[in-house]
Amino acid sequence: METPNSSADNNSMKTSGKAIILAILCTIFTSLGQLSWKLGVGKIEVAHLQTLLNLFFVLGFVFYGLGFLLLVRALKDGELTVVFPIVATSYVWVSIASPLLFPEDHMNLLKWIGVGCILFSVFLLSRNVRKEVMNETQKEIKTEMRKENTAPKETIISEVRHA
Amino acid sequence: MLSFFILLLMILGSFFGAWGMFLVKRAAHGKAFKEMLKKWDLWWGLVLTGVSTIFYMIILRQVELSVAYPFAALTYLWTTGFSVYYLGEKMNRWKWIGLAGIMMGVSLIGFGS
Repeated sequence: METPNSSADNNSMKTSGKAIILAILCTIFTSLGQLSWKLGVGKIEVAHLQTLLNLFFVLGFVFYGLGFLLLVRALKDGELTVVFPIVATSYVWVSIASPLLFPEDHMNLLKWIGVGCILFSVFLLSRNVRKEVMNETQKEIKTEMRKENTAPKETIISEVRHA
Repeated sequence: MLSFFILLLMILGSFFGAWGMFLVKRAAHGKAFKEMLKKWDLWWGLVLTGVSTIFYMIILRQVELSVAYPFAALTYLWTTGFSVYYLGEKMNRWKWIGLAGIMMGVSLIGFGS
């Protein structure tokens, strides 16, 4: 009997746990990229264009590129409504790391509340994925059971497609 | 002073960023890496992301982070709109709360900067 694979269906694809981990990993690289750029930009002199090739500025592009690759991989089997908001975790890393690298930068209460807000939201979004995966598995088990018992083959397949 | 030009740039910047992400997602969806490289969506997505980044570089020379970040947070709202409207992704209570929390968090970091 043909088993329709729900994860191959274009629009009903759910986010995998792997996609979440890749998205968070992506933010580490994009944050490193942003911090390197900030370090590198100070070394650039308009009169000497070769200063554009300073180590930190170039490293910024490398980190950013790696981050983008991870994001693309995360989007392969991750919903945009889950993966993209999670990418905001980069604001958390940059806020915390910046004062350590740049003495003029300080952490304060507002920023800490912002960091907390983002972390809590990321937790909600990833928790939501685990719940959906569980619901999906339950639905699959139910369809399997119905398939074996009563309903004719055609009805089940169209049901799953429209689910 | 917040000029009309900068305001326009901030709104367009967030919109282009979201549009770019939407195109990248459409190119990446369920595909192997090599297959994806052949998709125009991926390259247009990269161009739009680049344009949005350049916009923000101009914006950050003119206004404080406390102004720029709340506008940058709009990107998450537009992206959700694209995902629901064009990709058929489903929203639920937790995703809405998560989205609102992210937008608020990003804005608060801006206000604190």
